[in-house]
Amino acid sequence: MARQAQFDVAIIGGGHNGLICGGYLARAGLDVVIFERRLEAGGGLSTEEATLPGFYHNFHSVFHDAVEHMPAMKDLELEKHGARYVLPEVQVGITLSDGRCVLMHGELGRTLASLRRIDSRDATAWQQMVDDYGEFMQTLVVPALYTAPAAPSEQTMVFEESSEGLDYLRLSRCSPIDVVRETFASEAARALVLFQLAVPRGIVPDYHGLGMLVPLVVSQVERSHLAVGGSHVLAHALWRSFLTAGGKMRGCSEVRRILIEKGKAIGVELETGERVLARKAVISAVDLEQTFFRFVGRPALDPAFARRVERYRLDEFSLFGVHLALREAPKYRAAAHDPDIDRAFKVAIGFESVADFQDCWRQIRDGLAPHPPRLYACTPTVFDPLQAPEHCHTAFCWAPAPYALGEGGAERWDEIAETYADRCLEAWRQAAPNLTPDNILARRILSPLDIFRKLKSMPGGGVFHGRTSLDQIERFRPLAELAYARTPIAGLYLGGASLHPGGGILGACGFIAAGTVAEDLGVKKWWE
Amino acid sequence: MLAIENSFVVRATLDRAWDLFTRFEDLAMLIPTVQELKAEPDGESFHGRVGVTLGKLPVTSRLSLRIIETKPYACLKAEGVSYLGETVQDQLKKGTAGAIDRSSMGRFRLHLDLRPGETCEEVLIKYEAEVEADGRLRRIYQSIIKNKAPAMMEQFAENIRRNLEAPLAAPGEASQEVAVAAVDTAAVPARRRPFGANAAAALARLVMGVWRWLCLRLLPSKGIAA
Repeated sequence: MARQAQFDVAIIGGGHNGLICGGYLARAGLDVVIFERRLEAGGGLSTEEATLPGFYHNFHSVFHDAVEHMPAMKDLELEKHGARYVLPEVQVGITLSDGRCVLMHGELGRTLASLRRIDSRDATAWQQMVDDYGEFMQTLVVPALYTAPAAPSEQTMVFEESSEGLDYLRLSRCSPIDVVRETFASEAARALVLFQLAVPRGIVPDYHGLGMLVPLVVSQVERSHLAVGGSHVLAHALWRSFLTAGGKMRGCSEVRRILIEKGKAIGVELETGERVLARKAVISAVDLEQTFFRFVGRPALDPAFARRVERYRLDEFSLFGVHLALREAPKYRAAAHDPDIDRAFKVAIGFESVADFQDCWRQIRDGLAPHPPRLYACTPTVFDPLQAPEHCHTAFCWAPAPYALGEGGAERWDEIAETYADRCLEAWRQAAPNLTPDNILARRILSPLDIFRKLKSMPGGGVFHGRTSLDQIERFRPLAELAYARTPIAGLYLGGASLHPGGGILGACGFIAAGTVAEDLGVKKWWE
Repeated sequence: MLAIENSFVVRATLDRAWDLFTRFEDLAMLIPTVQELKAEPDGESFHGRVGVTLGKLPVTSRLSLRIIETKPYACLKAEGVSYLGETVQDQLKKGTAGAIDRSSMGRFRLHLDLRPGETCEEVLIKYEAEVEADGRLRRIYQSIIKNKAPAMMEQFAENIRRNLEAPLAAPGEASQEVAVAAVDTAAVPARRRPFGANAAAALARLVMGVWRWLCLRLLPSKGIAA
């Protein structure tokens, strides 16, 4: 009989959270293996030569907001292992149909100058919000992303002793739309904030209880960075770091089930039938549904717990992507108002007012592919020319869209993808007239259905691993009893983005999970 | 762990400086973030509240500290913890300040050294503070400490200086309040000494002066790096 492989820890899922979790535990001296279903690890850290030779497209994550704060960058020596970033000076540009634009720069003064050209009151309000909350966001909120979630009472107790604190608690109970309406006079300023919530944070602007994200955006403590060479470079750096620490990576290895004996997770069985034992822990860095209903199986679950897992809400929206190989970078009409729009990292098309956001999500909730498409556009090669051949460019747009269309469900995306891509490009061309067919060398579409086809840990095409709503954040993410990565099954942990603080390339969920596992195993947390 | 040390000269007599050190509640209230401090019955343990202001937001936490060593006219050492969440009342219900949830807190040690200055009207005060955080909220505590502690200790030193260099009240007059400058909005002015306390203080100084004479004769001297 073949000898079964044995490790201390088996991790299911080689996305960035699984890689980070594995990296910390391997450096702690544990014998760790990661099983990844696909050929290449990295999950949403995907860069592919998907249109023409030499054109590299980032299909999933692009805007890496937390690289300055992510402990793993330093702890796992990711720069040494090849991760490098550029920080675009112009972070966000909102194009307006009247030909103007408003920009968020890396430098506050320049953002205020841009706002002043729209409405000077908003520049004042923006500065005031930075003064009021900037230090708080930097000092307390950002570290809280990398900390196991506090109890709700702990959070409120800190603030309820002062009038300023109560005001903050009130603001937190509002929706972002409420907060921008009471803070900013112009729709453009409101749009400048709201645009940064859905991507890459997964926040729908009318979600109540998330009003505190407005000062987080305004204070700009998180700045979007682009991985030089493409998002996959971060995955490769994580992979190299993990292997250097003695970890074992098994690609093309799909897990069939988690082995459970006497109520304890003892390893995994692969689709090939191979059984791999984990002496100390099994960590699932994939989604909740796969973890409990596929790998563990309902018979092994308490029925009440299974019902609570069922009620975990997936993302309310997905993203429809059109990736282009271009001769020339998009040139925006609004450059006549401010030429810096052409070098904005994230460009909004069709998101000019609160009403635009409401309309977009109303249609999504009705199961419609929004019309007109409202877009997040980006031209990575403006900041990293090596992602395309010389003098050429890659660019993409993402349109928030439902996964399941009202008529025909998700499968209908296969029928309408080309047509919808045409509409997206038409909308984009309204803002950037040089996006003519002559300029477009090739294109590749990734619909919400395609996302799930490729990444099985994103059911519902949900790139954020579950709705980021008040009932599913912090202490309640993904469920109250799972918030610290432990599960009802001894030896089984969660390590993916269904944990606090959620989706996006934050490097937080895997980091927090590693801390929990280390504590439970009595392993020294070398990173502290 | 964050370690901060500094020394400074104050234009005050050794007696006056040590007198302040013996009034630990008054001394602790010169730390900018301490908002409230009450002594436990043993006189050497204290509990209270500290607060920092981040932007416009005050963030308060509970404080528990105790004096662990005093050498008259020479040094004072204290250590304590601060923690989010429980109110003083919750602590008291659990019996002692020590019975709090230790899963998440900031810990600190404060060492104050006192030495005569170049003249009898000067003293050299040296402080060493070590602060660190434990537990679940460690990262948040560390961030606050890193951002606030250096400026806080500098302000603490300045507050001691102002307190000791402020003119003493003439006999029969109430002491002047010494305004405590705050790094954040958390500081509270030093408490006014009750009328008639000066006579008691003078007696205490006399007793302390004798005790000091004895100590200087009996204890080894210690140099302090400037």
